[in-house]
Amino acid sequence: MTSQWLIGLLQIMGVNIILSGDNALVIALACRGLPGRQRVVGVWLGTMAAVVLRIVLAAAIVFVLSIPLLKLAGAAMLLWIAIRLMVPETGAAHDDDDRAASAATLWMAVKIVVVADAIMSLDNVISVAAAAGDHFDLLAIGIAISIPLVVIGSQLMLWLIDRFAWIIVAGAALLGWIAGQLAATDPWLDAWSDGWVDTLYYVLPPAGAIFVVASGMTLAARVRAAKVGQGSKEG
Amino acid sequence: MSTYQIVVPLDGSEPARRALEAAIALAGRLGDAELRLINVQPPIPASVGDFIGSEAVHGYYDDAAVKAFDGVQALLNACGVRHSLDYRIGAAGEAIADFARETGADQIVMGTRGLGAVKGLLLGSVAIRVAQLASCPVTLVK
Repeated sequence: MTSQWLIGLLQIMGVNIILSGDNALVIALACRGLPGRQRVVGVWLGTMAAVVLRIVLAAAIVFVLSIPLLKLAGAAMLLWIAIRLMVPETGAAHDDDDRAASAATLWMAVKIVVVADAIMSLDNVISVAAAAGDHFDLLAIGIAISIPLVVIGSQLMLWLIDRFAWIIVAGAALLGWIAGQLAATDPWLDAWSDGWVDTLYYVLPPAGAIFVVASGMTLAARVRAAKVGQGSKEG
Repeated sequence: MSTYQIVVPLDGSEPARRALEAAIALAGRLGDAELRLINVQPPIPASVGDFIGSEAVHGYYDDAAVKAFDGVQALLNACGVRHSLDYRIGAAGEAIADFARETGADQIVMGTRGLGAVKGLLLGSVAIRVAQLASCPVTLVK
């Protein structure tokens, strides 16, 4: 067990808690408006879909990431979700908001959950694969750990956000770091450059982390300054 | 003299309920007082909101706030003291102190979970944060 392997494992634990928790939260909130029995069915189906997608994507991911430019695209996806993690959703309605106000039907909830599961499972598997590097055992362990986290993750995620707000920042920074690792090992970059790509491997991860935290904090401050998300109920 | 504003943070817990009872007693003695009840919820990340839509998130916040106030509704109706219910999204300590400042509160009365000194320090208790940030007197109820 090398230190590189251990660091990979720790990174995988971190991204799994954040991304699987996030995925679970989408499922729970999308099904929130459904009547009793349908909600149970919706959450169960959404969770199963997320689990199956993780397993299928994990099997394909090593091949997919060997295609030039796809690691760069994956890195961009991870940067995006990392920044969005740090911004609080205030609940203020947008004018262009044509998404389900509250998924009142099982079908609406399923549509939301399927799209979210597909994108978030992809994010989750890409980041686990990036953290695992050449260690296939780590990839398998990482996917295995993510599965129970999707199942129980929504309550865990809410509790973590409530108790330790810094965990979100740490998780976002970790995702930024992993995005940097991923981008630096893209085969296209490797073929294009001669030699200086090795330098990128030391530069891009911290740059990714710093970029995510700086952008996330700026956007979060802007949202807070807008003073939305306040509710009131006269008693 | 203007109405004495008492901010009472509520989270559905037993200590919060005891704080409300203390605040009601205080308001009764003062006569001209109003209770400003506030519930603070942790923010749902926008990475989740991007998928389910901000209105659904808003609905979730509303429900959670109603749940936090549910247990004390009977108590409030019975006491006859003027009161308002609000909720905010964010870090509890900061949000409560901000709310008190914005509403021009004269006092904050809040519950504390009564954790030991060491554990309270480790977990960074909300009450300690409010006491640090508030610009009005803070009363802690055990």
